[in-house]
Amino acid sequence: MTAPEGASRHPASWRDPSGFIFRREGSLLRQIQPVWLEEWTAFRESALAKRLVLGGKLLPWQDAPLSDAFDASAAAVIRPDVVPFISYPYEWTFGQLRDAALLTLDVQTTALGMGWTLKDATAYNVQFQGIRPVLIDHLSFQRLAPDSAWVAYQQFCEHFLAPLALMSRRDVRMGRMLRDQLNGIPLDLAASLLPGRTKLKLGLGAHVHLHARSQRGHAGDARKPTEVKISLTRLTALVESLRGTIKGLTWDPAGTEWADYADKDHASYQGSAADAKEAIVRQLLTEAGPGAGRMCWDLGANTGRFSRIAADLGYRVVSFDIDPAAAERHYRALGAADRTDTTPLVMDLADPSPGLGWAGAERSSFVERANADVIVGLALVHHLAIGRNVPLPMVMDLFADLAPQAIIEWVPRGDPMVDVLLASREDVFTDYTVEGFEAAVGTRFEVRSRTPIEGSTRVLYHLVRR
Amino acid sequence: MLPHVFAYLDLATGSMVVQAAIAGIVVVPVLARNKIRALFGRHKSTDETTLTSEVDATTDATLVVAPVDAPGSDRS
Repeated sequence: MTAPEGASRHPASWRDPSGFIFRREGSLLRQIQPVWLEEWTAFRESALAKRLVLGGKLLPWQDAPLSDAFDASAAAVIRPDVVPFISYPYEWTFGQLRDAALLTLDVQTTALGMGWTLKDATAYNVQFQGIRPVLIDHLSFQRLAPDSAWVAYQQFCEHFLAPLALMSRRDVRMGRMLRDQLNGIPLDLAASLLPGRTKLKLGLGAHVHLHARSQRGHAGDARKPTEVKISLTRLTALVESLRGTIKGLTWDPAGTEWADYADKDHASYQGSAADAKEAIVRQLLTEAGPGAGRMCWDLGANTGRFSRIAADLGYRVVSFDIDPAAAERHYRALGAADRTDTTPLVMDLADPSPGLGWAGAERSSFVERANADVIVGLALVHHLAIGRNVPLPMVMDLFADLAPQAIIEWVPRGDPMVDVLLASREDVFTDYTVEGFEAAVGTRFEVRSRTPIEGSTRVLYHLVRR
Repeated sequence: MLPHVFAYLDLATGSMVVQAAIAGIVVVPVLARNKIRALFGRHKSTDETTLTSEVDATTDATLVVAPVDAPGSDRS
């Protein structure tokens, strides 16, 4: 397909024939096709649209002129608000996926009450602005036909209910299965992985186990699905039942390797060293700023102690951590503090999200989404270099690919946290010296400043990409 | 009949059939719960949606839909 000059279709926007997202000269736009114009016009003028946007549940948009269209087939064009960072369900914490599920059900309930329905319920239709989930697909709404079933019911169960059930009832790390199952977790697979006792639970028994059994029983059934009729009352009750089931799924973020790591690492500082480190980080972020309107990625953020400093300086912050419990605790703390300037995500920096889906381009890789003005990597390098055997120059290559500026903490040998990493293994890390670190830094960065952390042997580097 | 573009998802028959069955089962406890809550004055807010089930032959009860939660709330 040849794109018009200066425009490109979004690689993930091709399933729904009613329209698609495209980029033109840096702006993200949505083209609406003639087949959906009547439905779109009714929706954009509806009380439902106004209510969802005012309630912060649907991404606001502006109408755009047809001259901005991707091609001549357009019936209308809109310009949705910008989401600062696109994240994916396999990067969300348990709580984020749960809140995204509840948002979808809230929207469906409201829509049903006003004569509309969601025609799809994929988790990829939700994005996070800070910690607030918002629906981003403006073409998901269709006027409700009398007695019609919810066509997105299966999709909701596969994208939200099945992974949440597995994370809650089996192991939270099963959320990562969504990275391999972009269309959601098949219900027969979820049913086979869930504990047998979940068959006795009304919600999971019905929406996962019975649902999976029905799919098997009707495989090859030629009956037209549209012949299935459900009254509005029953349909609303179905959504209520899903909501109750989702709310019943909980997870306690404790007991994982990193859940209490921040406290331990912080405790490894003597006396005023912890305060000194915070002061230096604040100073370096200020020098890297101004923060307002700029993006900071906190790599290995744990529960967000230093993300908060960046956020306080006005940065929009995306905080990555390998540990689902640490990221979950961060997410909950932000919610408790009513802070919407930071988005915590689960990410293994030694195996970050790759490009996935059709042509490997439908879901962008971690590196492709790099939009930070500055990255912060505190108490991180030793975990990558020693804990994961990543050579220091490769660590610096990744950092340089992510942002033009970096604030990195060097943790030398002899530090208690490095000793812990080396305690149970052969020390083959001959290059893990300050000379080796600075040589690696020098391949991609210039050192703007080196600041020893008083009361410790650690040093904070402010780096500027060459 | 659903519009052509409505069917871009796979309308799996098994899911549709079980959806109707589950909806038929859960409607009774959901209605009962909401009736009780309405009786005790819970779930009164500006975001409340009340549906009069004129289309449902099963019951003429009023179905009170739970208020929309603030995103990020109710994390346990």
